[in-house]
Amino acid sequence: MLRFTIRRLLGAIPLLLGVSVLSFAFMQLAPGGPDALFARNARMTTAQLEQIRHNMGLDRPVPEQLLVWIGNLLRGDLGMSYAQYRPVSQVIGDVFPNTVVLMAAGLTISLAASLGFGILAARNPYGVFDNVTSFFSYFGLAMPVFWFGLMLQLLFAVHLGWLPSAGMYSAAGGGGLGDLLRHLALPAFTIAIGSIAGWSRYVRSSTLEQFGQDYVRTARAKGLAEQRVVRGHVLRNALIPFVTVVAIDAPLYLTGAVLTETVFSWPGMGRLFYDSLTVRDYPVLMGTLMLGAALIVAGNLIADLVYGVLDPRISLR
Amino acid sequence: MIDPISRPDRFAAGAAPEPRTLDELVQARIDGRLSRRGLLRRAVALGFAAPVIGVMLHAAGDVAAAAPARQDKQPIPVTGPTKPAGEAQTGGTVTVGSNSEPDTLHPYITQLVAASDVIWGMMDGLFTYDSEQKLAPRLATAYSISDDGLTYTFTLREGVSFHNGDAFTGEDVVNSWKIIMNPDFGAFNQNGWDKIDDITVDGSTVTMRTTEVYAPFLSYVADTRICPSSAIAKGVDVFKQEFGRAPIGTGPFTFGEWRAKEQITLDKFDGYWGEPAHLDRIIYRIVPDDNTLMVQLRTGEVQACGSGAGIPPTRVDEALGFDTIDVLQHATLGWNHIDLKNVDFIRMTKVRQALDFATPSKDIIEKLLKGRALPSVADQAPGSWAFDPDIQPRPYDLEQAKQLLAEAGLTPGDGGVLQGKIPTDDPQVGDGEVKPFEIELWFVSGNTDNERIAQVVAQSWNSLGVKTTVKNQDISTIWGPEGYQFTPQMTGALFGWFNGNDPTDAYYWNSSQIPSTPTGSGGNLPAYFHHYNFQEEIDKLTTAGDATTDQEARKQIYFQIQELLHEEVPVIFIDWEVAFPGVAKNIGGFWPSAFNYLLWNAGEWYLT
Amino acid sequence: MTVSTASGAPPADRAALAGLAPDLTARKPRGPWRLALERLRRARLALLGLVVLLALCLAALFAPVLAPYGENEIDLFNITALPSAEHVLGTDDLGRDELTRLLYGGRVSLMVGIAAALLSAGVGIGVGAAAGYYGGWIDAALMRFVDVMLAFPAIFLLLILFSMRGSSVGGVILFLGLFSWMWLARIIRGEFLSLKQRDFAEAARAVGVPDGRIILRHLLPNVIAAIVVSTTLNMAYAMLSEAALSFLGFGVPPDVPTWGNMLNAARPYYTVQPQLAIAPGLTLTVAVLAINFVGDGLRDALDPHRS
Repeated sequence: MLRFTIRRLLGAIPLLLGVSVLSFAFMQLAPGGPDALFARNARMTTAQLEQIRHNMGLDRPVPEQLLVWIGNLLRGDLGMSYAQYRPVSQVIGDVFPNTVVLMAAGLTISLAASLGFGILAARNPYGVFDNVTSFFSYFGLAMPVFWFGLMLQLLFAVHLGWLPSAGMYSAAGGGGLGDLLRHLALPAFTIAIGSIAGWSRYVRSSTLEQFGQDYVRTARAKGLAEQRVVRGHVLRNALIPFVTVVAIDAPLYLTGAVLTETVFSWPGMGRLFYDSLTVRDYPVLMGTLMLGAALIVAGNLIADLVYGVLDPRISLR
Repeated sequence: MIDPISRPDRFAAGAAPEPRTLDELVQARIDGRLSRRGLLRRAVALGFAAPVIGVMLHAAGDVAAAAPARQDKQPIPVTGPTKPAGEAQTGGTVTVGSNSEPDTLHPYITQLVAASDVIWGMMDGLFTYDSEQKLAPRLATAYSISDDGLTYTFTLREGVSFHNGDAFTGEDVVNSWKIIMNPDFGAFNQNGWDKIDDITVDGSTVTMRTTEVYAPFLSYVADTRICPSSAIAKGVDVFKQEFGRAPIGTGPFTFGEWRAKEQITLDKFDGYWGEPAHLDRIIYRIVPDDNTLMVQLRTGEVQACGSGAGIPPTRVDEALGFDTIDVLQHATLGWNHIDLKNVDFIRMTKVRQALDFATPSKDIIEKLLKGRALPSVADQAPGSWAFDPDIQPRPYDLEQAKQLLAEAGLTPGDGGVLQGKIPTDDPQVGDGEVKPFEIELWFVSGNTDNERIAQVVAQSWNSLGVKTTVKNQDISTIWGPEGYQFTPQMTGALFGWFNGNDPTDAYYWNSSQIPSTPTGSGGNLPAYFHHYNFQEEIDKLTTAGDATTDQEARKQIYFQIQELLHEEVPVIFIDWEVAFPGVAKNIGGFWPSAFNYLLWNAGEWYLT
Repeated sequence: MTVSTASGAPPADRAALAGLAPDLTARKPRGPWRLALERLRRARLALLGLVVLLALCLAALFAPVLAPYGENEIDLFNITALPSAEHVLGTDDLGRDELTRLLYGGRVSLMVGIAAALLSAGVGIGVGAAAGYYGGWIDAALMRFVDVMLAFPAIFLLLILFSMRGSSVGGVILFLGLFSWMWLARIIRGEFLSLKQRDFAEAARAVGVPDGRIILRHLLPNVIAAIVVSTTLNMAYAMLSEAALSFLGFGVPPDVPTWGNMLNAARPYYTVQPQLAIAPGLTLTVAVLAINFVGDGLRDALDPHRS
């Protein structure tokens, strides 16, 4: 187990290195540069411009910039933000927890909903409940997430005024848990909708599969209570593949956050990324890309490990 | 709005069609053809998801109320600080909304209006511009200029202390100058300060000796925020990073807390040199989305907005309907224009004038911007002392435009696109190769107003036979070395410049401001390939403007420049932006303007 | 759909693809009547999807005939007008007829979906087939590349690309296609690895049939179900992604009508003019729904495990 973990961890390093080199290459595609804005600002002289380029390290050759960047990355240094004049780790660190809150809330909602809907639907396949959930699943999967968010915002925030339309806390006197939850409701549900739809269908089919297995029939034949059958046998076996799906999908919430955070003005990574795009803050963009990639790789790793732990038939080498 | 004429017609035409689409459903509900339940049933039958149905129900119910009906109310022009009825209170909190977050709160490196809006509430300059474009004393009580115009002497205010307890002295001015000019620090704006040769301090007197007569000197230097020596002494990097996240000034408010992408809190400073602030706290709330800003203004969660982030001109009518706020109005220093690259046909004055005649600026202002902007004929702001009120904009006149183009030798060619000989030596005479008149019209991605304006202008120019293609790029690309201004094509670019408080405009027109390479600096981009045909004249005028200190004499120079610009049309002037601050009806002392930043007098704000 | 627009391969995509070889529900023993009923219901949905999709395609194709106004007909006197007899869905922020834009928008949105899905299928087949058939270092190198591509937070990268390089319809198609082929490649590789060991492939090789022919004639037909399903899902994914990118202002250039661009343009007005946001969003949802129904139907029809 330990060896397997270490091996997979080591395997992630070249992967992330590959991501970082590719990201850097993409950045070089950009015409202009982060300094372009300075050049067109009134009251900036050519000499000042040269000095700023030098301070940013932009006057060095590209391969050297790449090496410097990767060297710093290996030491955990993501560089300085061009726009905010402070370390990227600070810039990201300020907003990352907010995105974690949003992702966690979304995950909780969609785990609870997809397990509930999925298992209930599997209990009585092709029944009314199953048909209704599968109808909404189709819808959930077909809707653009930001549009769904806009509709929720329009209905619950603008027209009904039940929930705040944007932000994470109220301006004055905010900060409590209740305040947070009220602000969280719409964006968390928005970010969750796609996976509620996808996951509940997954849970339904993998639960159904277990119901068909011989051991369940045996257990039922033995006269075990249905509750115990479900909890003791079916769930455990049905959940193994589900856990891996969740672990693989969860990091992608980060990217879903770009849209949700834009719609709901949530102060997180997605907003940071979007704002950094408009001002060409390369170091922050690169940092966000790397963080996203690291989360995806970590999710895959967890999926592998969990699979190993839950399913004794798989031996870890 | 529901059209009162078309409705009876529709009924007269017989049975209305069975509603099939969402909007037909909503319309049917509005018309009364469908009951609420009927709407629901049909919507479900059509397969609409639950939240959509909810929205529909509300759309049908609220559609008349929410329609941007013509308001009788109009924005209130700003003539002084707000004076609500009722007793002024001490204490309280005001939340200010803004659509952008400051990049840094460092006065020397920020590039954003939003940052200056906040900084102005915490830090003082020697003087500050009040809302009538006059320099009001702050850290200095008086200044004098030597007869030769080279030496400036300031008398400093006594008994002023910074938020960290340091006493303010002349050394702070000297150190601020030194750090601004330090190349490793990379100050964003060295203007004025780079003209200083030496600063001497004698008690409460600071004397600055400059190298040349430079009329805008005070407008830059006196209005620069002064930093404490102890913070500057921490070294370039620390000063840049730490100070930028938590600035220390001498203003009526101290820095409280900055929650990224959410809000910045300013608290009352008890040791302020002047009359202490009435409010206890100001929250600068980041509201990136206009819809949200509108909602929060309506509900009172945000009580004031203005400066770089006022009410969007297209939503003023909506905001006038809110009973929580007053909508104010003042002119700005921002002008929108189409920058015409001085190549090929565009080098000819007649062609530029023709394009101006063919640009429906009046319609753009009245229809597209709903009358929420001012016409523009040249580069000085209405309301500024240098503005020439006598110049009239060219009317929208396609016939005159056609005639001017014909006079310039352009005739219809393939597919109706005009073509002719491009000028070679003499910019006014077409004697070179034959080219079609094809022009790219650029705007900066994300600027929705300019996107709409560009499409309207393109339609008009195309109707003349000037083949116009609308293009856009993000702001960094458009201003970068591969931007439109360095390609050989004929281009127009729609964007805004912001003037400073001083009318100096050498940056826009002087030949010294033509970038030497695509990565060079300077604002005179249209003349990159060819100097203007009036370059010599405008060089003389803009240089004289900078070197003349007498305001009346300067005014005459800038009047001449404005006439010249209107005649030659180096750029097509579209409009002067008008700002629409919003303020809760119980806030007094609020006095926004084009000449300073939103929190410039925040110490005088009060609640009733 | 939160995750799918954002990622290289949507979860439903993966769930569906994973379910391809052995569909989990399919193993459940049930009566023949039940099975038939279920398949009939699914077929009906697929048929409905097909009809809707065809209708949308035809509407887009004949937009110049059907649309009451010109594609870019600006009417400054009629900005953001509410629905009326002249403008059934009202007008947008430039006074253009919303219904007209919706019809023309379908052209680009559907084209982006189809073209990007085809491109992604092409790359996926190529990479998967090469890796699975040749194995060895080719396989190792290609699969490491697949790993790297899968580790990219795709929407971040696409946003960076489009914001910096500017965008065009072609660019959107190209990059959406290039970031969505990885799961198909993995599946084809896996299938090929086992298929090439089978007798018929061994025999073909033994008699000297060229590699290309073996791949095309003998191996590919076995994975056609995976390809078809993946392509329909990718089409849905590409359309949603185009909308997402355009909504953020970095997709198809703003003067080109697409459903995403219409949503982007509607955003400043959606509180007062909800129909400007509802109409394109709903149309897109219906289109994606139809594609997903068709995809499911095709999976059932092509699934070799369910005869």
